[in-house]
Amino acid sequence: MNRTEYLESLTEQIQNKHARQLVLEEITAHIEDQKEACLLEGKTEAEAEETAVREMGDPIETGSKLDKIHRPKKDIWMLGAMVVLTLVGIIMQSIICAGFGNEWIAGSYSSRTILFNLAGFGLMFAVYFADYRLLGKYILPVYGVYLVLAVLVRNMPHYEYGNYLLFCQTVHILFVPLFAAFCYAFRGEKGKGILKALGLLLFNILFLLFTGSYLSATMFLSVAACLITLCAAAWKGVFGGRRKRQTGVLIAFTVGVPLLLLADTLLFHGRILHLAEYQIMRIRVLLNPDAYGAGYQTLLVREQLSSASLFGGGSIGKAGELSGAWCDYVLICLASYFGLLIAIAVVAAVCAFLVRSLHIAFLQSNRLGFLLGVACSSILMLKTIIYVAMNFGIGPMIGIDMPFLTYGLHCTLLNFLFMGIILSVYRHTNLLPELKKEAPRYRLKLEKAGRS
Amino acid sequence: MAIDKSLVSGSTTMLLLKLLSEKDMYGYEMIEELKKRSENVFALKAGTLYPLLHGLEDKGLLTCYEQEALGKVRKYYSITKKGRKELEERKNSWQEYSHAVASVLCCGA
Repeated sequence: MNRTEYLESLTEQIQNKHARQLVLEEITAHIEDQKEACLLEGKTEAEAEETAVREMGDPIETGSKLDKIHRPKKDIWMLGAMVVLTLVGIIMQSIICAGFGNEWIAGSYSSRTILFNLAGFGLMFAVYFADYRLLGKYILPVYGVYLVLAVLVRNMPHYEYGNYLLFCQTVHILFVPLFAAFCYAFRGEKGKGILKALGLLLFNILFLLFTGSYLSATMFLSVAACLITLCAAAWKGVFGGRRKRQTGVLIAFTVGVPLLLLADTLLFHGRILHLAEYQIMRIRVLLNPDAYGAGYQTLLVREQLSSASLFGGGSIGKAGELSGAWCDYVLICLASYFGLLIAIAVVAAVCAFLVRSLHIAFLQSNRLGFLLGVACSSILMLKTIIYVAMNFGIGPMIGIDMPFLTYGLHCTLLNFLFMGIILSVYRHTNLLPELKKEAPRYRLKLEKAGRS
Repeated sequence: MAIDKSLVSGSTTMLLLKLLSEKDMYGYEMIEELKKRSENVFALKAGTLYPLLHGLEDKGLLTCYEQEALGKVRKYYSITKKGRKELEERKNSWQEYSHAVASVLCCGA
């Protein structure tokens, strides 16, 4: 049997084409090593090749063993949890909208949220079956399209201000998976790679600000998720070099951002970050809701929470008075209607889902899979933490959504996109070989992008 | 000395984990190291090694990464915390087993 025959019979046993590639590279390298050793022993080229292949063993047996290991993975529990939690969200939004006593509003919101979620599931499945490495491979053109999109959002006709804000927020959040792919592109470049990543992050913020976005809570969220991803990249040793030191410095930097925000608000009245008056108010209100008129929402939420019973009163009560409750206060409405127990169970289920998402990221050998998993999980986690805190009266009042529960086209699609990426990463665990780096032309281009 | 195959196969995982607990290695290196340390007793075939390594990786006992060494890109395996725990457990039960076998053999002699 020669080398080609051996490799053919081995790979024929493996069903998945990505896995075939993964195995082929490793086995070929092994045969090469074995052959070199034989040549050093003084064998001829032909003898060395023959011995190297013979030493490998039975290709059919090896191939079928490898095939059993390298199969696409699916997580039935996660998919099931997604369906159930989405239904909880739709039911709760319908109940809140029905509370307005206007049948037209109730009907149109309910049918729209069903439509949004169906579209979300469609998007998720499309991403789920895709090879996530495409994002790593084409990150530069994808980022180019992203920048054009950011400019277009600025110039597109928008019939209401809120609509424009939603587009801006979507653009902010969409950057996070792209940032993960860039961190991967800078792999092995040590401190320089980290500086490039930070430079890119800064460039992106400035670009968005100059093209008309503003320093919104969503932008902070996006930056926080990017920094978490960067810390994770350093921890995983993506950049090479002194892993622990890099991670320590980056964690300190990441923790510094919210501290800066808080210090700026309380001590410098938002002058450092040029915060808007309403943003400063949000934080002050949270710390002392009684002192300001604007604190009524926080007070209402706290009052609602203290009056909610364990098993629910079958009514959303005063929570319905909160503006945009089907977006911002679904959880407190859920607690009033179905009781604290159900509300806590739903939060626990979402948290379990997100912990599992992060766990999936940590299962990955493919570093791009790891980074995308961390990036997407951290956005969903940050959103959930902020939303839960806001609904329980201990977080600032921010127009943010919670995965599964809240109403809205943009946020529903974005959340399902991220879940699709996470599930795609899981599906391809131990299936996808890493992308090849070190094409000099490509690297040169990346450096340009990092600096510009 | 020829060793019965069934004696070796059960402990191969433990031996691989032990090698990787000392340093990260690629497949060929592991076979050579194993051969050297066991004085040619453990001649592991590559066809046996890779399914084992990939299986251990799938269980989260190992992770792998690619690194260039001497002009070649190689796939290195590295032991995880879970892998180290597994190694400890396997080592303990192996020691218990071999001690028991030794005691039986001793008494009969």
